Amino acid sequence: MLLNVKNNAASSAETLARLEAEAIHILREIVAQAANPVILFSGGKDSICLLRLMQKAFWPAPFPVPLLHIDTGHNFDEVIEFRDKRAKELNAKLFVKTVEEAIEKGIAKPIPGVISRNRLQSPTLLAALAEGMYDAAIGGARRDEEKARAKERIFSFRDRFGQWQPRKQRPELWNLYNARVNLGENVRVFPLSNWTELDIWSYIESEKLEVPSIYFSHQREVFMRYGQWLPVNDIEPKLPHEESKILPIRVRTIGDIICTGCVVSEASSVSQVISEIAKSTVTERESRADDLGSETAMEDRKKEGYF
Amino acid sequence: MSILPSNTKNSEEEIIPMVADEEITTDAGQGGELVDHGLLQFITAGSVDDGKSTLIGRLLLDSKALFLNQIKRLENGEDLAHITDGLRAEREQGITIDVARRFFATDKRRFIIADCPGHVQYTKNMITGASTADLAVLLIDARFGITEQTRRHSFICSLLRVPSIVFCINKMDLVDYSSDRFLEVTVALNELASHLNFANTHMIPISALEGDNVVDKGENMPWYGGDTLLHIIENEAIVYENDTSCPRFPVQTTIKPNNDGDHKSRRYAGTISGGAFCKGMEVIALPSKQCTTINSIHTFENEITSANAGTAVSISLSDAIDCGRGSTISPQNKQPLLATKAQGMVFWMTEDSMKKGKIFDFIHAGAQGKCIVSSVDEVINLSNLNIDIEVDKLQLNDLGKASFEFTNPIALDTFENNKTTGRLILIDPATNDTVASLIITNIE
Repeated sequence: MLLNVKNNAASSAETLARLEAEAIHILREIVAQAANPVILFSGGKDSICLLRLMQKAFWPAPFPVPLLHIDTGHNFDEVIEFRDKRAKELNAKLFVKTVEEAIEKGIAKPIPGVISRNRLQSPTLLAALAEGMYDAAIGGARRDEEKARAKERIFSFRDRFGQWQPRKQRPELWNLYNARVNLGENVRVFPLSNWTELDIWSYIESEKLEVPSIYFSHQREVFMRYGQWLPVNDIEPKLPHEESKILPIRVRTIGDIICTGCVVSEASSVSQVISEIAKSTVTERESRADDLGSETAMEDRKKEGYF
Repeated sequence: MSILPSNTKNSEEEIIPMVADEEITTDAGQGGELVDHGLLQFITAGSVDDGKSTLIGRLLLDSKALFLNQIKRLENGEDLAHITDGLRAEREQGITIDVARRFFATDKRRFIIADCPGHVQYTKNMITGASTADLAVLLIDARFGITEQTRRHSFICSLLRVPSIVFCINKMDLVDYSSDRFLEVTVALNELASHLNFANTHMIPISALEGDNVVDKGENMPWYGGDTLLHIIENEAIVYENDTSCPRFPVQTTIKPNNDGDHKSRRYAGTISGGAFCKGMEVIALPSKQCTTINSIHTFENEITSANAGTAVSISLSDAIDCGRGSTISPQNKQPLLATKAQGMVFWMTEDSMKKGKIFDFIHAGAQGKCIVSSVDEVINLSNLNIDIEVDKLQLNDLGKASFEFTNPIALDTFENNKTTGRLILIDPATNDTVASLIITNIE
């Protein structure tokens, strides 16, 4: 085994200031350039930081854009409660579009036998963007998460079919961003592109931001599948041979409850989470069963309109 | 190939809490508190097959920045060069098409690598990466020395005012680690560098494959007394875009608080793009040419008395003047030029060629509008850096000088005086594509 013990420092105030200024610049630019922008808000840690940055960028004016959540219906209750509470605190409009409704309307078509609604998020999102006539959708994705994201521009153009075309990306120079689209097209805007997981947590600490409780250590009944501890849930019950146990766990990234891997952890405060991930030898996305399917899982989903 | 964690057993032993353990020690972490000393963004460039991917793999491996799944792939015999491979098409063709950002940290500093493509046809993507870089790492194959791509990439970085360049003479293992060969290449590089405009130029003999002089010195080149690549990128001064002699505040948007009435409660939001602004400063807004003083400067948290380049703030003014998105605020005694005509270096990034008379939309830090190409003045042959003045168009991946006329006057600086207000992008109004970058060299 090659020696691979990492130990990174928490992000300094200087680094966070540089990243914050860049993100605020991007947010002001997209709100100024777009006719009808929307922020994707899931209640996860990245979008929590995004909302804080948006609040800062336009302070003391009211929160300038509506929030949109594409709800798979496979949720952690704590996160949904948190989502509604945060939107209320910010006095921001929150629109929730459910995969359930998209299935009923025939917008999203489940694949027989597949319980995960991950792939059904894309058509639901595209329909929601079309319905709201949004020409820009702002998201909290980061380039350190995954290799398709690592290639994506900060202002990422999507065609009429919502597709990301990795070979035809617009050049993006300096901080001069181009949000221009024709009717039916949109840009996805990622102000946190240059942030890392460690930056996010360092920012949560420095801004004293509240996050859903499942990011911290708690006792939960979990079972092992695909090398991951998955939460025991009613939607996709564990198989008879899969043994469950109650462990002190936390989540690093929140997705559909049936594919969100939990890490065994006793980190119960933001600073303990920071120490933990500073030494982590696996990436955040490795705790998402939806990205472990193939080498190009994310790339393929982005081509279908996924965030 | 599957990257599923191989550890799928379900046994008690494997439940290891990930929480910080005081007993874990690392090269970096013994003793005092770790400190992050800032963020350096750098690009890796050079020709295809010069070993960029291997170098990045080496840098990540030896600085212990690879993750377990990547290490497992290496142990399974995968090439160091493939550890950071990106998109499906790229893996299929074995090339890099677009810039990928990689993140790593050492105990000294945080890094973002913009891993740029080496093929000539993807130069526009290389420019995307170089435009925001603090430093460029340019690879050269020791066997071949300076090539067309060395000239092209170093010239582009110099033009974009990337502050520092590190020429890595790679594959020294294939020239028997010969100091004579390294000297030969550096003589030619010094000649090239004399035509370029970097604040700092470094040259290092390396073997990305064997690891010499990347993170560790190695034993193969005892004759080399200089620093390793990691040492240079860890210690190079980070130069933020701070052109102190030209304070500029391009207004992105106007913020009107709820109880709007008093003009002093109206705030102009933007990022300071040179120099510093302070409360009470006598300023002018362009293009309206109206003068006032700065009433207050705010961040979200505080009212502050002064703010430096790179900070995102909002500013209120003492008088109700014509100012908003599209305006640039500057000190009355250090104004940009309000111009309708300018000449600059254009990098052309689309299939249709650029010709006299064509009309484009432009985006500038302080303004948006339309411009027309008055003339195409010269093309630089990037393979030998000769200038051709007998030209009437710029084609895909061409770099050349052209003159423009703007429909409305805009507050311009030369790129040399202010990196932020001396640059534009051009957009094709028919496709909405970004088709060119423009670096202002002369203002009429």
